[in-house]
Amino acid sequence: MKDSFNPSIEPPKKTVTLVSSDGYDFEVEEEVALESQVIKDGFEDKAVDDREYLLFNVHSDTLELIIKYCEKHVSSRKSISAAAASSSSSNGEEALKEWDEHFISVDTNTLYDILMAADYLNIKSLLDLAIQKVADTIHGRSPEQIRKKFNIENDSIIDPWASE
Amino acid sequence: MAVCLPHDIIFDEILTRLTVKDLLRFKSVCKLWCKAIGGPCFVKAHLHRWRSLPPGYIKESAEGKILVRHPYWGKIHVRHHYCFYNDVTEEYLPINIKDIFKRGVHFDLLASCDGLLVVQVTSYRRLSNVFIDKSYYVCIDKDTSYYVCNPVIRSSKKLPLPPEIFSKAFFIYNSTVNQYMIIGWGEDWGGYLVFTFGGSKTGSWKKFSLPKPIAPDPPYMFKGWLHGVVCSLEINKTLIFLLNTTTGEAEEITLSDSCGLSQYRFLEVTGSLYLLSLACDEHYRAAWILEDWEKKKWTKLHQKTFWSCKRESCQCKLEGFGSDYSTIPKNKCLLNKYSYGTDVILNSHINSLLSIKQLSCGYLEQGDQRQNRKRKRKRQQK
Repeated sequence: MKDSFNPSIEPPKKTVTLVSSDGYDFEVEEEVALESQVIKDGFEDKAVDDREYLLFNVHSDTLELIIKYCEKHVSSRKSISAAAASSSSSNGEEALKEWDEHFISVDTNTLYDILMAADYLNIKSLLDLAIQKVADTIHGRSPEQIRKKFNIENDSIIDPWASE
Repeated sequence: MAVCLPHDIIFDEILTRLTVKDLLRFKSVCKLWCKAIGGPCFVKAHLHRWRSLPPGYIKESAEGKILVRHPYWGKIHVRHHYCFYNDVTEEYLPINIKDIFKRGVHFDLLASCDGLLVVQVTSYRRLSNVFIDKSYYVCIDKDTSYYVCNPVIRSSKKLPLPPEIFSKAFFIYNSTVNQYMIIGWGEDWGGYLVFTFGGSKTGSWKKFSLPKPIAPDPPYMFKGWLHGVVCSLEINKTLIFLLNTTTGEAEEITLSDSCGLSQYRFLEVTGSLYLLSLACDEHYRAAWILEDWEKKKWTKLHQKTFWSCKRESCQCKLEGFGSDYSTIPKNKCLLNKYSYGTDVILNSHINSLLSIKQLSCGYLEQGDQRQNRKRKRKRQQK
């Protein structure tokens, strides 16, 4: 209620602590953490001083990347809506797309780690981005290359494509 | 290096984004993949993803001719190459249906839905030559049949012979009853022939009559009701009828400020139904939106006049409507490019694993396992 009386003073930024599977603490702003649907879901019920999340499935290296992604998306969403409000044309969305493209161009293991973390934390846009990247990389490949990529053993006795 | 992605991510998310060409090849990756890719859940999930893509269209392409036997002129060359185009995803895909049918038949692509095509196949047979009163006549046996085929996986099936030969058709997935429907009609018909796949009514044509003759424009299935335009000669009034293909109920709505002498096309974009009209002499075009489904309220969005018509009551004299598609959010380019003209077949994709056999035995109605798979894994994580 106090804020509404004096809107010029910004409230102090609230933070949330995320703990990676190998025990590192990451302090991030509340709105950045709220990009994750999983964190958002139970957020209001938690006490303010107890906003710490243990992410057993996410390694610190991956978590760092994920936070980087969320921070970028939160900030660019702000700048896009600011540009829309002042009705000045901006290429914010295109720039973000480019940034995403660059962000996801990583090696296979990192890509899988990001994908799994995005799935675990339920960050839809990042999950979509990672999955599309995987789909793009396997498009047009041979079954043998797929086996290698997904670590699958060939157990089919008859190759249905051998005859063609 | 041992990277393993969980099965629900591989099958439900990654593989559903691939083309059928890729998927058929990946069937030989391992037994599990072979079984999963052919399974109803995957076929369904794959379709669901591709259905949500921005629509493209099928058109006869200029290249290539095939040889067809014609009763009067003997062997003739006809252009029978169809292509799928998508301006948004910049996809271009030739459709090969001539290999599915035997040589020498004449075929016309009538409709398409979810990668499946409705094809009218005509074969001519010269029975005898007769002289009557010094004139020479040729007796011809014309045989028309209808097929449904999936050109990508080369699956096709002949439909039972309809009670009447139709020249226009519309193919749609009716999500309210989970069935595919072929709707056939011809010039000046007073109703439609409907063929339903899946469910108990599979295998027969059903005729629905309407009190007034229908316009040649394609109808559209929206929320379980077939929407179509009544053939009208009144200059500033268009009648839309609604037909419930389950109960046979029919309703009629008057669309004001419209010209009866127009071509129409219904278009569903992001859950809203649009009606686009182009005057037959192309002097104006207009678009309506179904604003309120419950009240059946249509509102005019836009009208563009190319030149003024001399007819007294022509609606092209109406003013106060936008001159471009800015009122239709997001789909500006989509509507501008290929929504007019009823000769092109609109289709979201031509990339489906659905075989006709699966279609007719109600394959799609089987339970959805993929949510279970995800839930199971989430439980294990916890």
